[in-house]
Amino acid sequence: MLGRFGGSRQRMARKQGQNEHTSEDKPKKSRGRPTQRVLDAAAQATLAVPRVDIEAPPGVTDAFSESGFAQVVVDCSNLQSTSLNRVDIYEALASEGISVALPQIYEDQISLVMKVEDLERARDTLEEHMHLGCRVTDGLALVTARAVDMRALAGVMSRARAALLAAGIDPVQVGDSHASLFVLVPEAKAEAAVGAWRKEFQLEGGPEP
Amino acid sequence: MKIIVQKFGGTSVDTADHRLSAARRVSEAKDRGLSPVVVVSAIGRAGEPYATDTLLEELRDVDPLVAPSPREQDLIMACGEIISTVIMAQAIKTLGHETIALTGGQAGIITDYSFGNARIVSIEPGYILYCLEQGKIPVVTGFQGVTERPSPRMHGAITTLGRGGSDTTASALGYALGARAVEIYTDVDGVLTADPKLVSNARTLETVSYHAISEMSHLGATVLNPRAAEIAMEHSIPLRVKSTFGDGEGTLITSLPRRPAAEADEMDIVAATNSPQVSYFVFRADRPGDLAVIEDEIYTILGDQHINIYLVSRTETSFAFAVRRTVRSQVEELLDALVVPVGLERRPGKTARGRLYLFEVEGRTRTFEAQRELLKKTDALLETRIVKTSVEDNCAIVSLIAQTETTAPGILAQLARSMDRAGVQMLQLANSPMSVSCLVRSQEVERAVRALHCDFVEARQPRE
Repeated sequence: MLGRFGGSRQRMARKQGQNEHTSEDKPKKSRGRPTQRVLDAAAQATLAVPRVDIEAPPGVTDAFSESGFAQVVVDCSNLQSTSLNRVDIYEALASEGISVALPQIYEDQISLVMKVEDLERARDTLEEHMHLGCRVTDGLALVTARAVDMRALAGVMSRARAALLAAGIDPVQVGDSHASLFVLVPEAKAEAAVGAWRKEFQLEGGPEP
Repeated sequence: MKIIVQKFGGTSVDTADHRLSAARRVSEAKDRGLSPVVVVSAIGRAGEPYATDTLLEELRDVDPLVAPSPREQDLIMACGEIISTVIMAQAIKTLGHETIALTGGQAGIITDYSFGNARIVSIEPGYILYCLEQGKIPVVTGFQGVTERPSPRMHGAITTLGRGGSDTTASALGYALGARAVEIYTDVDGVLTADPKLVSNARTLETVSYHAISEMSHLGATVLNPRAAEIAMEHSIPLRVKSTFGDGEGTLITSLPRRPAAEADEMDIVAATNSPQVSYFVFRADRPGDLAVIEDEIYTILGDQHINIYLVSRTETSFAFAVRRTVRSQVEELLDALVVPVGLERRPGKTARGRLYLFEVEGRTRTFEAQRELLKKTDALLETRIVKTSVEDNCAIVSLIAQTETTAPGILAQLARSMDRAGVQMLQLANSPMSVSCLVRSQEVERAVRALHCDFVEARQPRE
């Protein structure tokens, strides 16, 4: 019964011509019945070359913190009444050799993050020499989440913020790039923030010990 | 076997002459004793008969009110590359070489199920290697793959890899096949220092680091897909971007060592990029303590709708972010007259406690006013506060890209001065070890990019 069924299927296939085979794919003749192509051992070995992993799935891959930062928010509301402009602020800090990170611009203020060892010089420059009002928050840690293809991850910001909120942490500042997400939090809360993200994004090792 | 992967973009295969030029590149490689594996994009650009966008439009035009499924969209989008691959294989054959055209699935490219933007999970290189051993030139469809077979009786679904996905195919094949190099052929001479449409004297870079090209691609340069750069970087595969039609050496993309600390005080700028079509939302609420809850609510709403946000910033009383301009209206719809309760608490026998934050989106007053009227009924019980939402509709991000990571103190100041001199207003700033970016209005993009290119790229001789 099985043999008859197989035979009829093969006849039908022959009738239809089986035209999709290229010349080298064409089955070898074996008493009029199509059979599978016979490959030598070397070809078999080539075809059996194992799979190669290529791209990791998008997602947060690591979370860590770095201490020793300060945030300086410079009041620019009265700049127009002086001879200064915002560019002068950046230039004054640069001339003191102060590296700033996470620069953010607002209507009447600019916010800059720097290493705490640069803070005194920055205050001296901004407050003493330029007579600008500054609000300084020191003792901060920069908590960073690294991600693969962050921009393909809709909702990652929401998850990151919700995890911090649930841990009772309200960041002083937030920022992002195509490869990372960062928040500035009080140093005392850095460990908890890293732990919250590790838990939320199921990172190896779980919350930081 | 000395394998080389050669990828040809749409403009390299859109006419018989162009295909012949491309086929000659393959033939030359073969004659040099290399084993080429060719990756091909769809023929031409939007509007041309087999271009990806044209095929997609054809499907959507069946009935604009009935959205095609992502699976079917991928199936039709994959057709463009299949057509150009078979035609390209035939073109190479006319030069006397034996070829075999392969779809992504036939080439062993396995992806995840993210239709429209799938990632290459793995590659089974066996069949391509077998074809090469037979002396054939495999011509592989770029931009597509196939999902894993859910069961032995089911086939995987055809998926596409997103914009610039053929570069990703080439880079991934380069790694899986142990290729000596991956060559990306295009209609420009290599990686340019700026968009030549904006900067007429943009020049071709001889060498650029993996990190820099990845940063450039993420920040608007279209010459190479960032995922292609990242795969090549992870596995140290040299990439070369060059013209199909010219004799130039193009640009070598490779790893470059970090600069010695003594030189790291100046950012080694290699390019100025621009990423257009951005809208910028700014939210203001007057009670600092409540901002975190409001922010969280907004991010959740947008995340649920798969809307990406970036250039995120906040102060005590405001927060802001950017979105692609294509989703601006959707974001406005979601936020228009939205009510976010904060600290809501109902105490038995006493009045409720908490506040309601009502969103007022600039330029949209009708729903807001109606909602405000309704909320007046709760005034005796709950305080209603307004979140003022303004939208800078038409913006772009312009960026300076460094060759290697640096922490140069003065770069921000120089960028600010450059923008100031060019009369460009910076709406927001962002920096990373590889770049400095600023958000500007679209009408100022050209001036901004030219100024950055002039002050940073032309004024310096980058290390190459």
